[in-house]
Amino acid sequence: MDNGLEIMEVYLTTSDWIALLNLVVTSFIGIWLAIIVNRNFTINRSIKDYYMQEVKDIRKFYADFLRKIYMGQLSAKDIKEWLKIASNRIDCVEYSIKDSFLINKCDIGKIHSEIQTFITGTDEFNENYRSQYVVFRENTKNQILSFHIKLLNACTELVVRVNKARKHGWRYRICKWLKNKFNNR
Amino acid sequence: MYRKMAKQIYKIAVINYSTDPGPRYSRQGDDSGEDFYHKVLNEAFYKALNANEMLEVSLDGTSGYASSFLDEAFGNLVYDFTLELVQKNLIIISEEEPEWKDMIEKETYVEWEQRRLNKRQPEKSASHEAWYRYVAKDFPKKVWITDLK
Repeated sequence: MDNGLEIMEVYLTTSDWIALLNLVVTSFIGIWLAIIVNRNFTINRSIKDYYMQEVKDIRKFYADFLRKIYMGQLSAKDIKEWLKIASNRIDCVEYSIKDSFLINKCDIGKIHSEIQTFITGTDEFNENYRSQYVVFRENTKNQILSFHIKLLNACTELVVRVNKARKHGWRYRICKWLKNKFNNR
Repeated sequence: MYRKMAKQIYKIAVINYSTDPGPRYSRQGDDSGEDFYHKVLNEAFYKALNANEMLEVSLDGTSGYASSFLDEAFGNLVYDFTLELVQKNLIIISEEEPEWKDMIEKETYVEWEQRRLNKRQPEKSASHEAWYRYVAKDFPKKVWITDLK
């Protein structure tokens, strides 16, 4: 009997090769699902939750502001300054949402701009510019209220859209990368 | 080869007039749109036209605007110089609140050009020094409105 190393010759049939390939592909999909998809899903979910909370915060801080307006608790300067801060915050949130997800329609900024233009253009605002508080007429308050309802609807729609949104595709990311690269030159 | 020469740009910023722009009319409060127009914008636009330059007005850096301030200031400009001259020679910069630029260009310009065509004079709430107006291809300077409201 030969004590040397015995080399076993293995012959694989076609069905063996298919079974092997099946094993490799299944393992690859399993690993991909477990690591990559799960990780992306978790990250996306966290980002979505963050933006949805931001939109809810805007909704709340706007409601607080308009409550003070209805009650005549703000001066013209307070109103003007608050509206500028709100503009910046809303712009920032809308830009980030559009940059992160495939969402084209964000109406909060547009409606905010309508509210800002309307309130600071009213006779009450201008005639009481020097006063400690601006008290709006009932008719003006009703118009502000209808803008407020539009804004609340826009916030709700945006929360729903963010919740359903998909991330941008490769084309968007490549365009953005190229844009950043050329802008930094 | 013919190359169109770009005009030079004469720049002003509202923040150099006031960090806290006020209401529409001078009688309503300090640093109003009416006051800004008569103290700064009318003269600056005339100077730019006279030097064959564009006027660039930056809205950034202030504590915020009332729409009435911007409407009164840029509306009077359209009333005195016509929409055509204003659109060709004025650049508005508003990085912080781009909605103001949109409002001025899409609403104020149109409304005040219509007002000019209808010869409905702007209201003045304080007396002002003589100012420029485009009349028959010239820019006479005088006090065009004396009735105060």
